Amino acid sequence: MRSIKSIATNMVGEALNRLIFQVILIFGVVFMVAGFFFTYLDPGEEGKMLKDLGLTTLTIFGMLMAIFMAVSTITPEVERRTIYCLIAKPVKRHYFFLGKFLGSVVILGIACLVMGLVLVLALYVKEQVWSLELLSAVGLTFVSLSIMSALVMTLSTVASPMLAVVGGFVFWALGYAQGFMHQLAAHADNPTSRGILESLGSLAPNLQVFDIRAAMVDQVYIPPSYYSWLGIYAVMYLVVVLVIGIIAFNQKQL
Amino acid sequence: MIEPKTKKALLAIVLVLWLATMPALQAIYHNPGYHGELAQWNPNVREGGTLAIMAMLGGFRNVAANMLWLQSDKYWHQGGRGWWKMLPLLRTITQLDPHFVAAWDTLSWHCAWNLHSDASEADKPKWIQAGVDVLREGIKNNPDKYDLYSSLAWLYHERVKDYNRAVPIWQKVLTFKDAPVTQGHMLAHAYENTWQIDKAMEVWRWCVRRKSDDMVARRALKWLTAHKDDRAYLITLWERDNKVRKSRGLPAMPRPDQVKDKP
Amino acid sequence: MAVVEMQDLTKVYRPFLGGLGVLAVNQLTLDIEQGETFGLVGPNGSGKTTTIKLLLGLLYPNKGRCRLFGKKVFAMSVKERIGYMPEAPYFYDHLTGEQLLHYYASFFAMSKSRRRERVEALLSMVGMQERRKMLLRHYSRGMLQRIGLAQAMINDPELLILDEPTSGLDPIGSYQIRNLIVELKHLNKTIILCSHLLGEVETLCDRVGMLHRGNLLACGTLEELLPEAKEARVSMQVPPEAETELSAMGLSPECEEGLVSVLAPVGQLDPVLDVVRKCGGTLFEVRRSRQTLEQFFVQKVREREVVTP
Repeated sequence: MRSIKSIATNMVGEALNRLIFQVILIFGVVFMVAGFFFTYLDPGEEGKMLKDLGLTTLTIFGMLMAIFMAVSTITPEVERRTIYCLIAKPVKRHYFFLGKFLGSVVILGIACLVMGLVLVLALYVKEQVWSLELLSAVGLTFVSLSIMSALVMTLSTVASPMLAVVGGFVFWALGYAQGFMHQLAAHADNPTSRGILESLGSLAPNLQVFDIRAAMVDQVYIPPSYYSWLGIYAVMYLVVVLVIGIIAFNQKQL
Repeated sequence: MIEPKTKKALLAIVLVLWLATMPALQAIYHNPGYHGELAQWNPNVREGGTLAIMAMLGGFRNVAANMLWLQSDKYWHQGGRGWWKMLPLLRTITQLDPHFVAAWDTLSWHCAWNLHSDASEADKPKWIQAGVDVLREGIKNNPDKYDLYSSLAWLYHERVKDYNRAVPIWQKVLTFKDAPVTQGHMLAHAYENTWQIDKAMEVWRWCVRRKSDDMVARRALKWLTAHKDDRAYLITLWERDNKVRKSRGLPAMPRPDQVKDKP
Repeated sequence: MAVVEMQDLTKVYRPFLGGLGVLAVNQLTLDIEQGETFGLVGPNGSGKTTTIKLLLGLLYPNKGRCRLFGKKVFAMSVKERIGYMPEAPYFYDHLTGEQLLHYYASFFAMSKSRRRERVEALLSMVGMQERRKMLLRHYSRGMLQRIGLAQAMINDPELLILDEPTSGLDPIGSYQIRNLIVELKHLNKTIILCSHLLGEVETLCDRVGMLHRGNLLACGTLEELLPEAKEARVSMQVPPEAETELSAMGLSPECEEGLVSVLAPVGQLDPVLDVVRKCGGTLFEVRRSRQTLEQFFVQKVREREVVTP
């Protein structure tokens, strides 16, 4: 456990110093603040548009950060051979993997928190109301980003960085198309087609269920049971992906 | 290195957990908090530009809806008969973002007012009915917001002049805690137009209790108290309403005192 | 019990989609004893780094086995007792030298005070105290090598594996690292030294293993591999009659720039020296030559290539 904490802390320090993280975070904040100025186009719906734009910006930039961060966890360590010194120390391979994942999650958490607070502040300036309920949408976005990060990390243990990035974007698209697959399955003619469509849908995590932006913006009530089920689903999927990643990384010839 | 037995055990756990995510997902789909119904692909999304298409495909329907909203606003400000161009956009917005209350409201208003006045005589009633249908669908998607109930009641009250239908909807509006007291004024007027003066006065009193400085309510209450038995003005209002209904292609309403089941 | 045991260790690198693999290490059988400084030499692609990676658990062998301290190489108890310095080390450039050592120390069960002590001692040992707060991205190659050695020593390991420790260093840097290795030898550490620089290996190592295309060509002490020559070269300044006398002894004196040199069997050294004394000449040098490790290695490789071209 000590190893996991050390590796995670080192990774956070490394990422905070890395240009790509800084650029993505700054751009995210800039886009969010820019949305503040575009809303003058529609005086009646300014708050709604700012919330939509802000949460969407957070999702997009968060996803970019999750994918690029995850790709840069393992491959650069192998390429630069820094992993050799680590594995030569009493560090189990799965602790290394988990430490890197924990580091990614912390970075994503920082990014989501910063962008979320900027959005809440921008809304306060616009509407003189603290829209703290948006933070639950930010929180669920963070959970979906963590799942994406785990997926891309697992991919990067077996594929090249470029392939892992492409795979990340494919999973992102599939993840958001889940609702559509579910609708298609619901309208399927026979149980076999329904089963196939639902199974195909299960190959990628359903990221769309974590997307409660619309509900938050339109102030639609979300019962606590929904959050509980999301938590269960997220934990199960994360365990699946991380275990596969650990097995793949343990088999990897360094 | 992982021992082969341990690896098999881990893979078995992974398989079981992955299979378990499917019922968990079903539980999420059936939870009232799930609002993931996706719109069918709609060619009108092109109107909002490439960005709208990418936003929709990327799962950011709200952003796509906002872009279409901006586009519809542009058509509105172009003047002329821009509402014909706005119609498909607004419909698409309500499909992309069913909780976009303003879009339902605006769409209904365009149907029942602008498109109605532009339509041929034979088609006019159809456009009012379209306005009603849009609001009913909007209410189904947003049952916890008073706004669309209020718009529907107003449509019956002002456009259709069917106060019997308006009354229960105004009553429903007043059950929402955030509904302003002016909604009570409308219920009172609707009661007056169905010749239920006592009920109207009760509502005016409710308005005064709710907001002690409501001068409109106080004046209305005072006037009704003085004229509660005056039928002449009520008949004048009824005749005027029927003239308006006729001009809108709607059938005449019977005299309220001849209606048996009043709301 | 040997500290390092390798038995028929084999590693083949196969392409992902199948096909002919590359035999990197072929049935390597080798033991390294406690306190020994073992030199693992060979040209590029001979399998030195692969062997090291197999010992560290970075790679998995296709056949055979290797053990450290009698246990499997993946055991955490083994990792607590070893230190590794990679070739041309590259570290986390956002850290300072001091932070890097603390980072690696955090993986061992060390108290904070013990960690601080070790870091201080190692920075001093490798001569990096003044640059401790400098970011690694600003370190020169030599500084990285030093800090690389320091991190390998962080847990005061019993077994040290050093891959090209003096690579890229200037003569002074190389000299300092070599001295450090000598110090470690005196502390009875077991050291595996991987190097291209055969001269360095000759100076530092007790035993040498030579790899070529994954095969162990030769293994033994320097005395075993490079026996001393049975002849000696004597250089002297003598009158011409002394040359005649030397020729009469069956030797072939060579004269160059006024200096006469002769290659004499060890048994004939005394008579040669008598000739020099008798004629009043001046003795400059008596050098008993031996084949160098490089010469031995080249010879072995050529023999191998004749057998298996």
